[in-house]
Amino acid sequence: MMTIRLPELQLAAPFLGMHEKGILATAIKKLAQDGVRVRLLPGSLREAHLLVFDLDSKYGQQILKVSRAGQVKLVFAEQPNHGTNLIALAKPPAPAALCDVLRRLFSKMAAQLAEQQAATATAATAGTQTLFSVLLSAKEQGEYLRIQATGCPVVYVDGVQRVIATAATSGTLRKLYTVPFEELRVQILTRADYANASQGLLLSPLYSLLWTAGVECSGGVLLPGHNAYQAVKLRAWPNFSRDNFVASHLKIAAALARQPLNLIKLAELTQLPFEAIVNFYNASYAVDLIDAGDKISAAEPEQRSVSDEARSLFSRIAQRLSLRG
Amino acid sequence: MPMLDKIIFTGPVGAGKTTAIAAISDAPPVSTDVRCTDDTIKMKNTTTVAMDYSYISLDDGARIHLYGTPGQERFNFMWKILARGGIGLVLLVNRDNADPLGNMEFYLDEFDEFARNHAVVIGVTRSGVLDQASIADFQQRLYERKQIFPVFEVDARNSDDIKLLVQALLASLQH
Repeated sequence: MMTIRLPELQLAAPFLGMHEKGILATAIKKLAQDGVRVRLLPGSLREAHLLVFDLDSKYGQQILKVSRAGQVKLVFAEQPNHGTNLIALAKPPAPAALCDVLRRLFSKMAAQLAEQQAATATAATAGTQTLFSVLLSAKEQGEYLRIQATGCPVVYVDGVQRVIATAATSGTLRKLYTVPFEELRVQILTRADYANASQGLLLSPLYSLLWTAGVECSGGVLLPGHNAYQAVKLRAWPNFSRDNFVASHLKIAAALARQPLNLIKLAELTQLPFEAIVNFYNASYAVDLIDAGDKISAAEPEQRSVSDEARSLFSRIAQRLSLRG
Repeated sequence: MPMLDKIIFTGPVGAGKTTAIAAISDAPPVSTDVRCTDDTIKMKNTTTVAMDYSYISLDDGARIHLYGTPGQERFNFMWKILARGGIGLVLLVNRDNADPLGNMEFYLDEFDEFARNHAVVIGVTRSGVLDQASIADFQQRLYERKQIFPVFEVDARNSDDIKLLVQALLASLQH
């Protein structure tokens, strides 16, 4: 599985006065509460994505000269009017305006990073088979399968009726997701062979297994032919009371049920790793919970307007009613 | 804006509202149950005529009140009164009823104004006996109504199932 880096905006603030440094530190702390990761690098002028400095100070012009091409410059100045190469804020910087600039730069950077990671992941794993890809193919092609892993009873898949037949419990079925794909024995059956072999076994919906396989086995790699820039919307919530889920799935489902978003924007809005977004998307697509296509268009993502007081209350209720396990 | 301090449980008679409140509350619900004298007797011995009430306490001592509406339609004048100041609505529907999809739509229509400004989650109870509708049927009906609410199969006696409904409600309110 590839490692997904979380976006982090790294900045250097050379020769900044104490007052401005204080405002900057407060802004970084406030943004961290919203999941916006901004880090002040001590003394690493050239490595930083962003330079923050006082343009009017005696070092201002020197910093401009030594900065590298492509480095974003945010300056504080008495006359904040310095053309398009600089982002300028009037001195002393208003905390809200500073937060706003840092938030925008972070979002842009997160989007670029997610795009790179999606491209790398797709290229690295093109053509790789997983339990998820095999089950999805069975569903789409109407295939009958026999799947076995050591320590787990055989699972028979009927891609036409979209059911599985097995003596395995949900606990033993976990083996299927956790062993490497090479250790699974997958065999395509004829309809007659499936009918014979599955007699007397308990039937359950294929979608439950498919959903879990999508979440567990996608590895942050988008399904072939899918595009992280295509706007999508959830047409229904997954049945979380019966299918495996983690807390972040509630957040993703709520955001994607409310408005159409592309996956990059969804990652920005929820502040979740792109890998988690892709795993959720793949699983939801596989069980027909995603609306996509020309009729879905994405507007700018809207943050839900919730007062700090209400947000704090909701978070305390959620904590009080936390789920076991 | 009224203080947000309660969660409303609604749904038809026998959907499990009283049981669901009991599953997550700090104290047994105070119920205004009376012995059934109408057709409801076929489903259970007693029914709620005014409301169920209990609460959960938060770490700072604040209480979140849990109200269950009376199930019978002749008490529907109570529903809007109880909903005032509500954080959100937990709608429970008994899947073994003759028309569970119709039940869901009825309550969504009754609470339409509340639903537009708050959050709604739907718990489908008593699954597996008659199964008049699948979860996919509920999802499809909601989709046709352009209302994408969480719908989960739940056992009203299982506290994790009811907690999940409330967690989804809170997620819907925030994201």
